[in-house]
Amino acid sequence: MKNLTALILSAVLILGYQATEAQSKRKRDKMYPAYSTPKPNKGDRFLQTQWWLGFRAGASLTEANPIRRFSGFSPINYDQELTEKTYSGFELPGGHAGIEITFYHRGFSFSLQPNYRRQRFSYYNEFTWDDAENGDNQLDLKYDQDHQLDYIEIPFFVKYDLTRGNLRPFIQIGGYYARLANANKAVEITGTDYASGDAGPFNTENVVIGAKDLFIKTSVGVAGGVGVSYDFWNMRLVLDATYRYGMNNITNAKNRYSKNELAGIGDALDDVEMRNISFGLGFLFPLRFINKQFDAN
Amino acid sequence: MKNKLNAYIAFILIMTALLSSCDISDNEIAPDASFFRIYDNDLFQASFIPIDVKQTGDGGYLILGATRLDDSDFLGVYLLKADENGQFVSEQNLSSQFVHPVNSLIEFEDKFYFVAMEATSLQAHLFTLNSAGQLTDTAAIGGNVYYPLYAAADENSIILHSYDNGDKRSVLSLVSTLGQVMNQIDFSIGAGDEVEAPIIEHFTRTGRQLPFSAGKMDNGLYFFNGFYNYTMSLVFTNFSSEDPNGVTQGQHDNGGISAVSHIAGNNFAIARFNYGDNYILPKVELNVTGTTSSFDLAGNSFPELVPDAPVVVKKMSIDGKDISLYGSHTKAGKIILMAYGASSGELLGTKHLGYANPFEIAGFNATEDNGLIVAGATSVADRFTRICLFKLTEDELVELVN
Repeated sequence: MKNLTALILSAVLILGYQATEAQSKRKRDKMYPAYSTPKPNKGDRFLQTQWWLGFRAGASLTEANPIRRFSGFSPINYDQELTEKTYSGFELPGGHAGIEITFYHRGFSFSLQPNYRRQRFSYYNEFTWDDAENGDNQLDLKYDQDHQLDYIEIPFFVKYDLTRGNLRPFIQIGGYYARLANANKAVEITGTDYASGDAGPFNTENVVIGAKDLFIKTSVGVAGGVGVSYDFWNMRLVLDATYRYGMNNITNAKNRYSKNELAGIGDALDDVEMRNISFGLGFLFPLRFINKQFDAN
Repeated sequence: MKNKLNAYIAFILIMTALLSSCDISDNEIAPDASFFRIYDNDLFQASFIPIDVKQTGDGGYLILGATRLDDSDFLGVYLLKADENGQFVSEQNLSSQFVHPVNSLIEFEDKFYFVAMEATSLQAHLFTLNSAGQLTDTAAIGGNVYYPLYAAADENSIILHSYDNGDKRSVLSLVSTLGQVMNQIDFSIGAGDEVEAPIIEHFTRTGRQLPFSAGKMDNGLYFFNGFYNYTMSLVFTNFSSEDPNGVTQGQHDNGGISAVSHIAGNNFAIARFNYGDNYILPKVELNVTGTTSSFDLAGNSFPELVPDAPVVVKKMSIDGKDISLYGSHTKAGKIILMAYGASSGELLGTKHLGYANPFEIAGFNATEDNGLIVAGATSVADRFTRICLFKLTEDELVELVN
């Protein structure tokens, strides 16, 4: 998964660079006067300073990184490590949608991108109970638990445009502050009950519970990424990929056991930090120098 | 440009304020303050029955329990030691020579005591454990004490309720911590094998677990909840008369008192059962010098409890208030705690423990950090009976009574 991410990020960078190189070799349709020359006029106010406003949306993949392990089971005759959860990694798709307000000045952009974000992660535990004297007495169980967390997030990025054409690859770094809006948890129990006389697997219906009390309200972290923007007509199309590195434990330590409706199956949330890869698509509109014909001048 | 710079500085300051006031910095709790543990054994046939839990001198927990024995009709004695975070430390299955550990671990100074029965002679034995919960001594209780039913603390001695199946009598004894009987009195349960049958089924767990109990009032009067005159009765005695001072009668083993805690004077916090129904009486004045019927005590009906529910009630101090804390379990498979004002009898709050699997209560006790430790049984994967512990914080208890 990490290799795939690196590949995607590299591809975005290379594409952006090649496209920019190509632009510099051909004469383009003029959209903004400021972009109409290969070498922009340094005194052009539009080029130097601009506000952009628009909306953006995209998909994301999340990984929960356990920093401290917990379990409701305290084994008597087997290793505690067997109770540890196996996390899914960047597998379950999430999404986000919101607006973007960006202030551009001399190649640098300061961007606020409030959004509603859904992040998902999962883990599973496996347990076996057996009988050394009677091989038919065996039960294998697997608890799959899927978490869906909805945040209202306020990320702030500083972007730097690597070129100055219509097609602009950029890099961005920043941070985010998010408030939990909702959280759900679903568990599916599958297994094999050899003692029942039928060694076929079984699975139970998914149980979905509200899990808002299991997580604290706040999530913060740093973020960095790459992207490319393309200006056409009177708008800017932005494609970016961003890696978010959560810097706090999002599990509510005080409610780990007391508010967990799945504690009875031995579940106790680990202390986890979030890692997230987001792919976004944005449409931005310039707020300055637009006349009634929506031509920047 | 300067205005914009100011706007960004303001934004950063607002973000900083949000971060500093958020719940991140407050998201800490000591691992020993709150936990839930299921003590799992991966053996298919393993089964454990919790009886009581006490906090030990090292901050850990000692659980008294029972297990099924292949070579006895009675349950074996099982001890489990957990650390201060509730993590399993050690277990001890006593030899099948000793069976049927009775309710409650008793703590005197830095030692713990419990009573069990010798498997062949059926004589009661007193077991002594050190502050770390390690077994240090076993003594046969003298004075022909057989079939122990319930043990309770009385200053520096033990109030022991037992059954004499030879003469079919309920026995109440005062036992020293060395196992010597200092005082004893017995009362007839009535003639005929039919009266005795529920008691024997209680021992072999082939029938219902009956709510035997014992204690002492602040006026020096002792009481036990057991069989007297054909019924499950709450019997008051001063050890000096062959007849009880007072009796609150039940209806054979179909009705009677299911839990009792003395408050003050003749006031008690009790629970009663009647043909499966359950009633809570957080403050009731009992006639301790006459004969009455538990049926006439009425009380608050609790249909959510399992039929003839096991109930534990203890007098506790929570948030500066004298509380009668009831514990039982519901038909939905949850443990329920109910806090009543000891003097007012007013219900202050309830709390449910346990989700997903069915849970049953065994016992609870206060902890050094003013929290509560609750021992129960749960059925892992709906079939494997395991001991579990809930550790509640002081804040959770304060919330319960406010």
